[in-house]
Amino acid sequence: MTPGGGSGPMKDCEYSQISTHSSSSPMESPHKKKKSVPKRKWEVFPGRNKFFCNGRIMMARQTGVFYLTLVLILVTSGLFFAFDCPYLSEKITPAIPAIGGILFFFVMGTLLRTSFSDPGVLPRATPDEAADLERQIDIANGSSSGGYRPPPRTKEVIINGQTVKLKYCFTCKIFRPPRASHCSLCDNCVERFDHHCPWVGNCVGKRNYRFFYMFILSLSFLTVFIFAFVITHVILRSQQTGFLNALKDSPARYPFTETYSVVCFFSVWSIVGLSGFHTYLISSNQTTNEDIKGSWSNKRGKENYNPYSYGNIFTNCCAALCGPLSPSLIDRRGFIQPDTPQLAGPSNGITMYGATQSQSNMCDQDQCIQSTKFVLQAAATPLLQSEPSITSEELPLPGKTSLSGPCATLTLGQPTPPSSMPNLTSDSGLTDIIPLKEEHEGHQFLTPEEAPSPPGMLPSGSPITHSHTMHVLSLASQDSLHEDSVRGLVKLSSV
Amino acid sequence: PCPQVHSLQELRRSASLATKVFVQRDYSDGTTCQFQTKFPPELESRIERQLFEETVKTLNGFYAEAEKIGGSSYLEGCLACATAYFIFLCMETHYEKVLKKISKYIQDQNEKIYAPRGLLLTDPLERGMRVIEISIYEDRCSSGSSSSGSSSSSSGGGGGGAGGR
Repeated sequence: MTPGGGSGPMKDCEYSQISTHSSSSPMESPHKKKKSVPKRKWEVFPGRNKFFCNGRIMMARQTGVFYLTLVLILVTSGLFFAFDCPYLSEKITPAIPAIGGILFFFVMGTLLRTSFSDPGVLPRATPDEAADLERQIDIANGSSSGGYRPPPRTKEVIINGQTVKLKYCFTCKIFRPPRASHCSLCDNCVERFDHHCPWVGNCVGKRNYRFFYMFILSLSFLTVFIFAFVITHVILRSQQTGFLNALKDSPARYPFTETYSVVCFFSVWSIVGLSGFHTYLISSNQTTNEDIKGSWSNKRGKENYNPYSYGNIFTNCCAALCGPLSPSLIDRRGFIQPDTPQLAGPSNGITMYGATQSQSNMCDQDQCIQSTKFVLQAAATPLLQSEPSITSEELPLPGKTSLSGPCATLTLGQPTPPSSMPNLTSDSGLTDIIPLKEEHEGHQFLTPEEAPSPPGMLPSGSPITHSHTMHVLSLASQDSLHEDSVRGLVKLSSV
Repeated sequence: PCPQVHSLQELRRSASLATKVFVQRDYSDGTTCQFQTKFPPELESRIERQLFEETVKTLNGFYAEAEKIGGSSYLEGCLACATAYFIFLCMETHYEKVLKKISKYIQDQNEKIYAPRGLLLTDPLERGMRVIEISIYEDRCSSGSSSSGSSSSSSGGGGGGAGGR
């Protein structure tokens, strides 16, 4: 696999790209992609999510139960409209199918919104941020770690007079904001994390909680509505023809009527119950996560109260349901910039040392690429137009690599040293690195585990990967230059 | 020493990234988006404290405006709910409008205040609303200052790294 693959004929480029796809550094493939469409960010998203419609739709990985939900709702409503509505609209009023239709429309709309939208995923830290945080934590910890494992990293914050502990997320390399939690199923930190709901196939968090609540509320109304009118239908018919005859009257419908009455009956209780529970949560401004853990319950102490509550039920409800909708932070459909990796995972081991200056990228060349990118990015809107020559100017830097010390030990408990080219690898490297601690929780309705105290280190692994990384880096860096000169002007639109 | 005044164009031609400073979130008010106004020591020599604080305070004000819960946000919320949230397909939310204002403000600040001092602000939206990232650039011509800068920070980093180990 030649590093300078771009200089070869086109055929060679494509051929080598395909054949070494899994093992070559991803630096090579973007270079070849100068002839093809640059990747969008959702394609390299590090969490365990599925994306559809070119990044517009985002769901959890397991969506089987979601399809079941869809089928149940569609079939039950469909049967209701097909078999009961004609009779009822004649006998009683045509408003019945109309109202039913509106409810059904509302249920489907909110369900799809809940399932398809970003629940409030926090993007993982960039390598620079992660390095900066690590450094600050090191300074804070002092030399107390010595020979034993450092304690789990937490920060304390006082919110409205209540002390809240912010935990450090080892996967995302950030201190989680208050009320955020890491979902082990989706492997993302989610803001105002409520729970992971398999029925909607997504996490429920800050951005989609109101849709979720509207969904279960309207579904309660819908199921009660359908159930009530099915019963009404049977009663009315039995008044005409006798009860058993009413059931026998349409033998084809008999199994349907029973089936979906049963479905309705059970769902009424569970969904109405769930709606009631969430109504309580909203009015006290708590998340399911907090309620289950009893974070703000009086049992923990008389002084314990919920610092996020606005004090009265009405304001709490309005804030949760009608408050402003924050935008998605993960920019799924944006294009990937040529330099800065989207997350901090694999590069962490390398970034730690002397990495105080954002030489979190492995060598000065990368740093220059990044710096050029930043400058270009910021200046790009009205000012900048071109000059790929810039990158070539910046490149011949003193060849001091700051790789001398890196990944020797991963003191801070990162479980795996970088096993692949960190710079542009986002997904493959990181998913390997995701510690096992996140995997074992199967239960889905309840809150997933948060990251436990730092997992053990793998110092033995590092020298090997270190040399591997060095090798990969030298190959890759040449390509990064090529690639950057081409891509150096792709400007992030959000600047 | 080299004159420190740059335009953004000059910056791109002659500067190299020295370090980045991160202004973290201030959670003392809850989950609303606010940033700490504490002046980072790395910026001591680069920019006046008052200018920096003003920038951060203005940004905090913008975010507070975006997240404000009041009459207009309720109206927007109720309207959206009434249309089963389909209205978001065609309408921009209040928050998004404010974010555009913020982006413009940051660009403006960069052009007028930060780039001439060899600094660059990054919109917090690009960093998941976690930090305001300020990139510090060193002049190529003032190699003396950059090497001294790097040596001081690398020694700091070495100390920190040793502590962590």
